Amino acid sequence: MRLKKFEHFEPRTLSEACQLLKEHAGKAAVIAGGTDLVVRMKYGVTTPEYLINLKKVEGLSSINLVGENLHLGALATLTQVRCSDLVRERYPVLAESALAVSAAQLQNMGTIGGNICLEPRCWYFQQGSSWRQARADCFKNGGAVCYMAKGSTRCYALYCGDTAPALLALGAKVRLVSPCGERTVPIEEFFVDNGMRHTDLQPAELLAEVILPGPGAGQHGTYLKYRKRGALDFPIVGVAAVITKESTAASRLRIAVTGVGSSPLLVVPPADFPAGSGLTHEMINRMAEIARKQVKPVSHMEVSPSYRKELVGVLVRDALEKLAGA
Amino acid sequence: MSEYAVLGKRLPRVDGPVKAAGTARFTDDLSLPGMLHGKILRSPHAHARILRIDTTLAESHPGVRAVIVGEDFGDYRYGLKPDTRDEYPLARGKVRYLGEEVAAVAAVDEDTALEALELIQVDYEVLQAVTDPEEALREGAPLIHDDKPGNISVHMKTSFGDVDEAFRQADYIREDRFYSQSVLHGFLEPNAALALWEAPNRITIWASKQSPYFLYRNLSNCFNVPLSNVRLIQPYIGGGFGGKNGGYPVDFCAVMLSKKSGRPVRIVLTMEEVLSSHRRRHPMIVWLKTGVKKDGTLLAHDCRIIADGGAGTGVGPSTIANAFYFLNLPYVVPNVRFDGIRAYTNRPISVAQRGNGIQQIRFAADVQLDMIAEDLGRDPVEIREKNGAYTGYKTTSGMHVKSCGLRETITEAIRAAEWETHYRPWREKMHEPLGRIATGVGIACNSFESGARLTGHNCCTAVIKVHEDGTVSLLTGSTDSGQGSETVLAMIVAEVLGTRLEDVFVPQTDSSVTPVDPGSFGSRVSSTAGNAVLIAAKDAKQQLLKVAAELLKADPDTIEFRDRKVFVREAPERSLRFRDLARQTVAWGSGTTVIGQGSWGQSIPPLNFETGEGDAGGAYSFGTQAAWVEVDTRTGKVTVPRMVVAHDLGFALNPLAVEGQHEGSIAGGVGHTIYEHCVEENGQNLTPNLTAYGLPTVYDLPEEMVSLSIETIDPVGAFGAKESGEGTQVSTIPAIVNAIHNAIGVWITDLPVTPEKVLKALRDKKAQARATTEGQP
Amino acid sequence: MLDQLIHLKVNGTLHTVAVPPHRTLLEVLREQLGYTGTKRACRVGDCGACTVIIDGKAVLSCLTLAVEVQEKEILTIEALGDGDRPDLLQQSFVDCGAVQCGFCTPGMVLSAKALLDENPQPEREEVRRAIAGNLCRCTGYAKIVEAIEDAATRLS
Repeated sequence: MRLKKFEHFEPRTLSEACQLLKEHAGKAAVIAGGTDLVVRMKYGVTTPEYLINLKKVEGLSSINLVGENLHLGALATLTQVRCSDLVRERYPVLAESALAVSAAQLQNMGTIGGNICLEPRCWYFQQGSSWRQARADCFKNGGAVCYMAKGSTRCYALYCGDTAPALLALGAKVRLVSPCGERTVPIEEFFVDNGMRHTDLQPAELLAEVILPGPGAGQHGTYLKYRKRGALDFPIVGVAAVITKESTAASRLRIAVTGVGSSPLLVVPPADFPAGSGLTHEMINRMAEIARKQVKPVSHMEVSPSYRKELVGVLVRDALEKLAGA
Repeated sequence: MSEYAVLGKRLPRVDGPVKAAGTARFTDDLSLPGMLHGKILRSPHAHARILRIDTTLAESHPGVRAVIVGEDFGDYRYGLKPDTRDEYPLARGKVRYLGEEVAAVAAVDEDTALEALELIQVDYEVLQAVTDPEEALREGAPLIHDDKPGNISVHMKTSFGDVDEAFRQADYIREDRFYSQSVLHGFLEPNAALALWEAPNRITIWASKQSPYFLYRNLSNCFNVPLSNVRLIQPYIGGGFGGKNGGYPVDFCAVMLSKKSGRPVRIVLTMEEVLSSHRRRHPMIVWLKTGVKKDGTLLAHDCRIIADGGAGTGVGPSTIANAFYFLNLPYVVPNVRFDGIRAYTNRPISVAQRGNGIQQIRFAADVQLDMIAEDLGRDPVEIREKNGAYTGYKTTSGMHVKSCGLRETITEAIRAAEWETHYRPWREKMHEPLGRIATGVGIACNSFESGARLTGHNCCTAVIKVHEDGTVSLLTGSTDSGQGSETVLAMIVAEVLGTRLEDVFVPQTDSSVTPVDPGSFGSRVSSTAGNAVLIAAKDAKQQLLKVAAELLKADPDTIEFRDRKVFVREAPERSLRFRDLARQTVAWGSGTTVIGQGSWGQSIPPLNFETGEGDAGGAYSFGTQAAWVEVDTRTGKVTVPRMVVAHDLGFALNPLAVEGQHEGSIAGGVGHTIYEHCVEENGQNLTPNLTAYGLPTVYDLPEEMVSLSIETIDPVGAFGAKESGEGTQVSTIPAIVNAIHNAIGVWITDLPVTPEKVLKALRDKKAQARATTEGQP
Repeated sequence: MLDQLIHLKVNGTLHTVAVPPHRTLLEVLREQLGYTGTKRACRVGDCGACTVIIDGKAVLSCLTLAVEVQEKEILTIEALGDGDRPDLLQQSFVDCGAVQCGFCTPGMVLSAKALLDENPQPEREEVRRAIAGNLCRCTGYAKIVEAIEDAATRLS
């Protein structure tokens, strides 16, 4: 469990970082908090020759209000996020989700950008090199098999980030920077679920910040996490739900789920979903059922697909009941 | 017990300050000039023949100083008994489990050693592996050890009383199958050794050992070195729980690498190595048939077990024997039949873990007792009170209960658990709808050997040196792996000599200096080493008394030692300071050095591994635990917010340490019941890290733990003390499982109690109820 | 990769040490600077035994690169009292029986210190949350929580 050798860069600007990333394409990794990457490097499943450390990039960890929008620098730590008055007052669901990550030390180290980009997890993948020598490499490690879903033609590692569902439910956007310029995309377009990559980050592209639209008046949200132990664990299922009042008669409901596939899933209510006049018992049950049906988990890490679906139903119901009561 | 000046007080442990300061040195914290770093190459196969090992590339790698393979150890094998020596320092000829040690390297730093491991080429012929104990016992199963037909590592078949007749007389008979899974010791300090070989034949080793003298003998045999030349120095131990008892490959390899390189070598395992290939608790399948009278009186147990032993025997014979012994206690069961097989499998080796073999059997027996109580419409408390053992009871198998406070522990436990308020039998609740959170309470009882009796060397010895300034050194080979025994032994010395705890220094075990001792297992230290220390302290006191009598011009019988003073009992003004007495003793007449000595061992015959007849230990502790559970009926998640331990420990030598043992027992027990599990596939542990494995965090253990000590003043143990650290974990599992039943009406007989299992059990019950209703006309 | 000369400020002392970039803070503290009170247990962020305080926050030294914490205030367990003169928090751990084998203790004490430095009068839940990333097999945590609450009372 020791790191292999690498060259370490500490760029001062984002463009410098992108440039380095471009120069060492395919051989470089970007490090922010390091809580995910360093473990993978110790396991030998990620072996960068060049490590581009973003910690010294100016202004990348700030949390600022720009007009009505809140801009969270990718390097803001989860502790910063959960303790920020701006976040706590305007987006408590995000503070809740940051607080749900692992434990204090990891929240002090881990960043919002890193948590969004968290590598999907699997017991056959995140293991030391000697452990992995006992079997042929899986897709994730350059092989041609998925031990989780045998016979499948893709990897089914599980996305387990806690903050992503909150951000999805809040309708966040991410600003991405590359040597060719930058783009800002809705976070649901940032995630992809093809098994090999879980984000749309292009080579030499970096996640610079997260932008949250103004909550307006009357937005409520909550994040509920189900895990084996009360701390440290990744979610078995995590559900974020945000209800936003758009007018006196109409509200918009967004629900996002983590732990059910290779990327977080946005569960959108059907067009006929009457979210206008508060959540009734029937609506809550129906939405829980919709969410349960939309997720398609595979058997994973001692949890069966049916149980995971069950949990999605329970958590969606609990989240909505909480919002209905709020 | 106010007549004691030191004992019975809540004194903080003597090694607390250095541990809290981070200056307590563990093996990994030690280094020597020129020290090399060792790493071990492990098998990627669960079962394979080793065709060829080529170490040439590794040997020529810059920075590598030594590479060793199985052949370097010749034909040396080790094990508990002469007929069970089936473990090798490094694999010979074949590998028997995934992660077995195949070769080792010493290099100038850890990075280089790791690089060298990758350069060792091993050709294997993969053999069919068998990782399920029932499969392993089937005819035609692949043979794991060529000289062990049928893959039988241990087989104990025995019977006491007339079991068949008892079943004929029984009003009610119940038979169930239980399974206890593979769990790990969970210590945070990985196994480690620092070895120094000095030519021609001296070994010095610092290693994390509960029983340093096991390894001392192993090393003497392995390296053909006289025992006087094996110096094992015991640094602080970062938890053991049975997983650091004897010698392991890490120790042998460190010595061999040092011998070969001429330099000191330190090997520290990674947590991944510990969790994937080091020792663990025996998984066990238990079939238990029990016969009772209508009123709940136990008549007979007929029990068959299959324990998964993994690829070696280790201390397995004691595990199987313990399973048998504790079918006979804590309840009176006049007829017991037992057929226990420990099967070899291609899995890491199963050994003792806090409660060695007894958890598994008491889980089965105490849950089944609740099942029987429910079937008969009896109360779980009443059935335990009715059947409980008592002082003076002798089991049919010949275990002598010399002190027993079982009934008092039941009374105290249910009082603390507010049982009368919270308990309603399931049959009264079953027609009420289950809420989202269902609550329940459960109890279970335990017994445990206080000071396991071994075959061979068994006694503890203590040496006490009184220094001329009145301070005292206690030399003992009993180790403190965290339980606090060092403090308790020092308290005994302070009590007898009338000094203060801070005046007594207990140097850590050093086999060149401290007396030979079996070490820390089987709940021996306070009770067994405690008696040796008591005798040694009295011996030292006797020597001091002679001088004191002359100085005080008093009869020795009239002199008292208390709070650093020596005085005439009836005339306390005739006194002198203990330190002055110590100095005068050195100078008196021709002078003398006060060295007290004491040896003590259980005066019972050695364990009978064949029949199980006789005693398992010098005394027996008894206890009761009550658990309060909350079951989320929608997710199946079980939490244990509150737990009560009431334990008959004879006498609480240090109540603060006792509470620590009780709370720690609950921690291990809750982990075993609900959270922990090695998930395996073809002999490979898929959960070789603490997160995947699920070692409980502060959120997962009862926020409220009540620890109650029942003092029965045992005639055998030092000052009447019995064990308090292992029996207390024995009943945690059944108490929780019984509480779950009380909450939701299902019996979980297959550990761990995962949320999915609970949910499935709830569904099955509902489906069954529906089927029953529909089936009615 | 060539070693880099880096400056680490540990417990108020500035150390200049040559390390390659792939050394973790844990390795440098223990192997090069002799701060062995920082324990090496899981090495992958699962247990909290290697916890140190950097700029007031509890972090894991096993997942921190030594080269990236220059110019920061690093506190290890050695910054508190020693065995002869434990500081108040350490004394509470000792007095309350929160120490058994002692291997998790330095990390546990530092997590507690980071909490109390920031929040001298924590609620029970805040205490539990602060040590939820530190595993202990011996104590069942109850006495650790009690010790931290005891220290908070004594500090006030």
